[in-house]
Amino acid sequence: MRIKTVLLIGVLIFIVAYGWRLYPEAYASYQHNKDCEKASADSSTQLVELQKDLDEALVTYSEKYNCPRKGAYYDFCNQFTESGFTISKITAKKLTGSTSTTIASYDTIDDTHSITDADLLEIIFITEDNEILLNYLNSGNFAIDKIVVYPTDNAVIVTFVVGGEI
Amino acid sequence: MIEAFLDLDTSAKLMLTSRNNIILFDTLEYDNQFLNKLYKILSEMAVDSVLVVTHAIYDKKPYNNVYHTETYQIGDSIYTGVLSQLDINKLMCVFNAVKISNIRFCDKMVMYDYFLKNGQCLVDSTSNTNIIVGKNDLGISSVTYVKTNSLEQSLLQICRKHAIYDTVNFNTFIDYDCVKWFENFVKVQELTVFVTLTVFGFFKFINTDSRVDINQVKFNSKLETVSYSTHTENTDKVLRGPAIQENSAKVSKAPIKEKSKKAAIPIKIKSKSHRSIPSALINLALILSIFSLILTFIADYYFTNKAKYPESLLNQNNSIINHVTLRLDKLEEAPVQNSSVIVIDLMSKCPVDVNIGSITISDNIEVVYYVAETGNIETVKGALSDFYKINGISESGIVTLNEIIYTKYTVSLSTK
Repeated sequence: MRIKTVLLIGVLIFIVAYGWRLYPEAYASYQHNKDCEKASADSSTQLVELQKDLDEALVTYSEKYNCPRKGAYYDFCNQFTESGFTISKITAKKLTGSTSTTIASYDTIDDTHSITDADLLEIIFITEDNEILLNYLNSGNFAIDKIVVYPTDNAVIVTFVVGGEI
Repeated sequence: MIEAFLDLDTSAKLMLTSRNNIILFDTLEYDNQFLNKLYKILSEMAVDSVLVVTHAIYDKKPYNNVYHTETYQIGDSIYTGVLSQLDINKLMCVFNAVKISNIRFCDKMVMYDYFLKNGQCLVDSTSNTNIIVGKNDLGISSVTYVKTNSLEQSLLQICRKHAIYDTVNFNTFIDYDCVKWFENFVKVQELTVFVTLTVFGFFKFINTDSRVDINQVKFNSKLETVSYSTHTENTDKVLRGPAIQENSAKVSKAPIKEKSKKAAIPIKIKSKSHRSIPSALINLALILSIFSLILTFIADYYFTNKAKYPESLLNQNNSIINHVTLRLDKLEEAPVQNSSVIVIDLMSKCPVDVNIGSITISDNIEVVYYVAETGNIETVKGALSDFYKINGISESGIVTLNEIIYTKYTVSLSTK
């Protein structure tokens, strides 16, 4: 009886102390969540609009420039090998974050699921003469984001902007 | 379900029970009609199970044609309980003939060992023999069979030898933890007797008015004619004898224990039925408060973990928006063109003693020059300044090519 009474008082004191600390936190958390939910709803609407704009921009961009496109990565890479350039390495990259995916061979590039949402495609060419490749790139209306030329090593790294889906 | 309990004492005691009621109690003598009587009773009553309490003889010697019950190490010797194989086989034949499926044997010594606590001595009596069993930390320490007239002396000697101060009279001993109560009061002449049975089939009789110690109650087969006998005088005398008290031996008298235990039962029931209200309220409050405590913990967990979902959703949306915006900006930028012209031009304007490590063309142009000790970065600046706007030059370490040491400069340019 006495033990139970002491235990009861102890539990009640703990509940009151715990509840005293918990209440302001719970209220602040409730308000914060409410704000977050509202902002989240707004951002979802904005995101839908932006995604629509992006889809349209990708279609226009793909028509305007020669760029790698989802479902046609192989065709894009193959045009270089058919023109006599050697591809050393292919890497798929995203604009945000540092995530990149190296593709073993461009023969199976379209089957590589992990690059379906790539933003950029980086190709390393090994050439006997950099100038020939650069002239080819200039004449092909390619969607090039960046070129790095290594004159002493006869290597060129070209980063292409990925277009819309086929 | 009818259960039979058969105690193979100096005379066989048979009790049949059904649904916690004693339906038959009989004492059978070991005469030439014993097995026939046993078979008749068991078959007529359609007994389902039987528990046989055996009284094995414990000896160090090996015997032929015996069943072993239990083995005890007493001192340096090992004692084994032996039962006549012939007698047990005869019993088994009877049980098999009656088609009893559940047959159990339990030796009395096992019951002694079970009930007896360390540092206690036990006395159990049959008609003309008494058994004294002592127990210490290592188990049963001594087993002595004595006649009634030398019981007192033997008991004292054993208690002194094994430093035992507590003696239990097993004739009237009831272990209330193991007692199974049978709900039949019987009127034995002028007394009301409550019949109990331990789980081993060791039955006892308790007088409800607590005035007379009953040693044995005799029933007929219909529980009609009953008589009783009081406690065995010899055993009682030993347990109350002054000799043990002189040696500071603590004597626990089973009849007293029985009375106190018996008296405790109705009190216990009464206290349960009249539980105080404040105690019940405290119990209820305690349960409610513990329940509240659990709810508080759950709420805390929810607010600290689960409730962060909207925030994480918002962050996720913002991250996607940021990515889509970047992608749109990238698509609006013009791609790099005329890279060959720029590269050729930069190569042609490279001074002697200076090598170009790499040329990066994107929004702006970055050229890494390797300038030898004989060269100067100023000559590079001079060669480029007429055609390009130099945004910045930074030294970025030393590089050795073909055993020539070059200083590495990164020059940031834009076309004029």
